[in-house]
Amino acid sequence: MPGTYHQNEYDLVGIATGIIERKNIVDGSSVKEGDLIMGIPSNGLHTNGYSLARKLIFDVLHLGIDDMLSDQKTVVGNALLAPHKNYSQMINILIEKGFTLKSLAHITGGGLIDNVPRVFPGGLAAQININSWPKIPIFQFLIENLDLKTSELYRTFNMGIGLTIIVSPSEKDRLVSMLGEKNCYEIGIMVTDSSKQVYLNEK
Amino acid sequence: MKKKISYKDAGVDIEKADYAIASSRDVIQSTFNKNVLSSIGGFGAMYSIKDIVNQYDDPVMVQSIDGVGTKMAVAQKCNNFDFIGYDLVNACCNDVAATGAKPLTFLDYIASSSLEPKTVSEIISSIAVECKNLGVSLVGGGKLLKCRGLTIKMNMTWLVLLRGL
Repeated sequence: MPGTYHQNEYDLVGIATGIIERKNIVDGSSVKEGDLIMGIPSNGLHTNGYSLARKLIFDVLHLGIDDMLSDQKTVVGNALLAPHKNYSQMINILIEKGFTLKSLAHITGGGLIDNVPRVFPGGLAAQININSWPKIPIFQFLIENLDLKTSELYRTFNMGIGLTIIVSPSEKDRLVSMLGEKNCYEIGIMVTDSSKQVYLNEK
Repeated sequence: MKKKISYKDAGVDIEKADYAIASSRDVIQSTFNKNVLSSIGGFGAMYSIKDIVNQYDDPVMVQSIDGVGTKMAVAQKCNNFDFIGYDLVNACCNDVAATGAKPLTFLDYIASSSLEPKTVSEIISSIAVECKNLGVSLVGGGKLLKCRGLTIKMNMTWLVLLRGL
């Protein structure tokens, strides 16, 4: 397809195929008011928000790949290329160990705002406390340097959460002790609300 | 009058493409398990599901397609392709697992107007290493390599799949 791709531009696409027992499909249908939203940390941008991050870092701030972010510790190139974390093994193990995971949202394009509501029923909304997990340097940098509404920021980037798991409150302690408290944060709660959306709160 | 113009003259260098495939062959094969029936270079990726399906009462197949977007531009800027395959594999396998499913196979598609085969080989190896880490078979041994503005089709499997989706 000559002419389809510009010089020095390239595309990398993949297709994964898996299998599941029909009755075990995790689709969020059993989520109810009072269930907890647990956030599993990301490593960085994963694979979303790069067009904006690149524009800010390279075109507007004129930083190079070997320059430091504002924390003076994190190298730009390394921060941007931090690999997309795998969650499939963790999910498969949790299910094998008998955890009841009511809803799983892989936080990709659209961030927490667009992805979490894909997997809970109507009549509910997600209240998320955006200060309930630590922000790694790349996200601290984006918060400090982008004049964007919080909702836009959390729609463009994963902001440090790569996967959300909705569980009943009784499952929380077992999940945190299985994954470790730095690998699993309680970031929100499901509430009755006709909007079927995510509300971002400061506390 | 007939014109003497070869495929190579037109910009398609099959030898270069062969290099990319050959140098990733071992690492791709390392992801294969007993269910993989096809070998690299076949027209269709074949994966036996009999033993797996027998473990399920009502098995459902789950598929996801995704890409790495413009993270590729950063990898190119840094000339570092070590983990771009991890990004790709996890972008897709995490989506599959978000239904609760266990990922089994992976196919990939690389397209460019100006990629060097060495870079393609590094990218494929990175994909294969992460597939291996996850116990996922990289069954789509095919590559669609668009070198220097032109297309070299090494295997139609992926094209057919992409069109099918």
